[in-house]
Amino acid sequence: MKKHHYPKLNETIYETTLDQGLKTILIHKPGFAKTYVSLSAPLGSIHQGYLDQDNQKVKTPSGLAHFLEHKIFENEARDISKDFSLDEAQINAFTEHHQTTYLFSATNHIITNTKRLIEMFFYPKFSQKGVEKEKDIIKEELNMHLDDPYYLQYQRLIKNIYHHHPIKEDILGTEQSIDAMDLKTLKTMHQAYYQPQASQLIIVSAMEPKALFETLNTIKLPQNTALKPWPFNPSDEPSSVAKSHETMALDVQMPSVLLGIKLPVDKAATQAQRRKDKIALTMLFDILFGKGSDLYETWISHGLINDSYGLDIAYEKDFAYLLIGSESTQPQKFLKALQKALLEIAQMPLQSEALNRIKKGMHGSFIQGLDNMESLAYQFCETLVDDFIYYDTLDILNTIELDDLKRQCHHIQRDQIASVLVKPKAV
Amino acid sequence: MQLSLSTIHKTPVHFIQTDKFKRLHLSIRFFALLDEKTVTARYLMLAMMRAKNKNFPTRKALARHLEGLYDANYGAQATKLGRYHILQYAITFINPAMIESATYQKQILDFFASIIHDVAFDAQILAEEKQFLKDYFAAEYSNKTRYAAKRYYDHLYQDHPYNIHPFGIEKQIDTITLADIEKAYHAMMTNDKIVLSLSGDFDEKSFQMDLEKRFNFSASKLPKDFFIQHAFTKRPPIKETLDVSQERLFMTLNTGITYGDPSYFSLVVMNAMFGESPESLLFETIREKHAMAYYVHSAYAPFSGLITVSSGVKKANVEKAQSLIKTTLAAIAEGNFSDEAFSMAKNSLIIQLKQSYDSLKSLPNKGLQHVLFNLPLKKEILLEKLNRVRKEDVIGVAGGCQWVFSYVLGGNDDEKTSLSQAE
Repeated sequence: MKKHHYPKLNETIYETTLDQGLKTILIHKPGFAKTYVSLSAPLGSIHQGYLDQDNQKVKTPSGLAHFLEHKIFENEARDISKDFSLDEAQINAFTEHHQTTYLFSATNHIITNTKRLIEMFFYPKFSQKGVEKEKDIIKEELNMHLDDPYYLQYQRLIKNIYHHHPIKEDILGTEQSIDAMDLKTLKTMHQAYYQPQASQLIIVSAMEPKALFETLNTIKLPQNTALKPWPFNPSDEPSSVAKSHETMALDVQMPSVLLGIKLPVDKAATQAQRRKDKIALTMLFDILFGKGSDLYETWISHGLINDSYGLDIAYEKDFAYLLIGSESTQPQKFLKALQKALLEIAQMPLQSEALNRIKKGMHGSFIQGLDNMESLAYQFCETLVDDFIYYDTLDILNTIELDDLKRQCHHIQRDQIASVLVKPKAV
Repeated sequence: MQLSLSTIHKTPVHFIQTDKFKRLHLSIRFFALLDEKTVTARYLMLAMMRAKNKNFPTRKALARHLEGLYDANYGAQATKLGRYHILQYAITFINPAMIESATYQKQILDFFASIIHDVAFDAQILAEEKQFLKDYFAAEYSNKTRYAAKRYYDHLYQDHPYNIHPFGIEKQIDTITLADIEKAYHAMMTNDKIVLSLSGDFDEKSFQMDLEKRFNFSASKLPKDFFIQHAFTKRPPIKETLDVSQERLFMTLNTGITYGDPSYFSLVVMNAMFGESPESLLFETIREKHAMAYYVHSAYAPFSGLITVSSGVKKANVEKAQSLIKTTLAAIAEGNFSDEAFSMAKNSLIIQLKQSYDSLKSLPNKGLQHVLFNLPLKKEILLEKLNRVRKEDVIGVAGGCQWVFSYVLGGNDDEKTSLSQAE
């Protein structure tokens, strides 16, 4: 067990490795009644299959990671959520493009609940009958999203940004791919991806580490199987977008614009380098396109955007993109203005006064985030790859200079930009 | 957690001390009766105060100032509590002890005071905020789950004082003038009931002094009359049609039990077991057993005493789902539920309650509920009240409930009228 203390933040974490290489972090939070625990596997919607014993690629239906997330809860025909509830815990899970996370928050029986989470994660007990029943539930989840135009707009944009990257697939899959799920494929993908040395256990709690780690160390975890994740190669994907613009006529009253910039991914970069690039990119866009920017003020005063305007950055090992969007009563005008500004980004003035202000703001946000258990667990999980500790983020932040921001401007090229405009359909 | 009730000149202030957070949360809330004549101007005034003022004459200037204050998180929002319209201005900021700055506390309080006192209302900002508000109402139509809920509440509260939206009335937006905004501001500062609240780890004396220097309102007491006695009688179901992928259904249960009622905690446990908790009987029946829906949920509104059940199902399953929802309640009223279901319901409330003390922003509400509704502040007393609820109590409150309304937004079929016709 390793202890890391951060005196400036008044925070302590403990790091250990459990059986079969399961990386585990305890973020110590004295005074909190709640314990929050998350366990993540590197299986997301972009993972399209596995390598079998003979190293042959086997493709699986889209939406599998999400389907599996639902089924992990079935424990010999009983919903395991009930056992968590009877031990004063609430369990949940979510699937992203790159991973699946199971989590619970509890106010009692922390060790029992953590053991239960680990066991359900590595030793699922679901049945073919349960798989069949789940298909109808997930189709209703899909139907619910199909009535949300912003969801449809986002999905279409991602499809248009990428040529053949599997991020194009909906996390939920399609009605056909949901129908194609079967017990054997789900269990095989589970074996290939839910392996202890590739998973991460994050515990945010007031509990002392000794008793907790001692008990968790007694749990026997599965050994590696001969099955392996299907290696992912982002270099197969061109740097340009597949389709630069599309208009969707949907059942809305309020038009909206969503623009995406496809960013390059550097597989060889270390986690620290990737963090630095992400922070620099965030700063660049906060300064030039954020709510304190000249552009935002101008667009608001000209009625091109409203207070729904926002920015979002996804920056993962296998994909990276930046989104900017707003509802707009003048969507064409806004889109034109936004595209023009993006293409001129390298010429826009960047001053050190703005950099210092943004640094101070990010420093403040970082400290404010220390009160949020859910977000802390997520951030630790995101950065634990390559042994990077999230609490070292402030050190990176302090090294960033204007040149780091300027370097990010080179990633914004005309052929890397795609947009989707949603307009009301004609009645 | 310690609550100390003090005053800033005459106005109540709640100091809530707890040392586990790295932030502080300061808020000021203004209470006025919800009134359709004033609600729209009050909301637009709040939105304009949120955007800029004399010291920060543009949105940009205000945003930049907050970034420079270590990204202090400032927001203003309008809500309703029973028959009251509440305008809340709040700022969350890192504890000054975390940074090497002797002036940070003063800078934060100066900013917060300027939001309240140094208002700058002009035609440009009024026009912008009017447009945002129109856009907000127009966007309610986009997401059909949200739109269905809006239509449901429009019908449910159509002749009730609770029907007023805290953001105002869409049709009035164009009629509001700068003079209305000035008048709304003057009325808020002189007539509203006011409470301030500060939560976190701080030196009470120092903040008391600093707040007294900056705020001096005439308001002295908080209101007590939050409830409206208004019977919810049975009414015919409504169906509306729209091109949707999934039917959204809503059902209304009148419990007759509001905040402060002796059966309040029994009802809260009953509702958790019925449909509010993640392991509820509705979830088990509709989703897990019959695989008819992804979501099914019941929500209790303690000011009206109504429970709303909502779900999304395919068209062929609407009637079956409605019938299963009714059967599930009837089973509770007959005592036909397991000890396990009862324990899970209580546990879900216990977790929720204990966790709420770990959220900085929920602490001001705890202070307010304690002062306004005599709800105990101490976690232990609340837990005891929940634990004391027996199965018989839950059976009793379930038996006293009545189904009064249902609403479905769904795809076309011959029996239904179109939405435009229904209006």
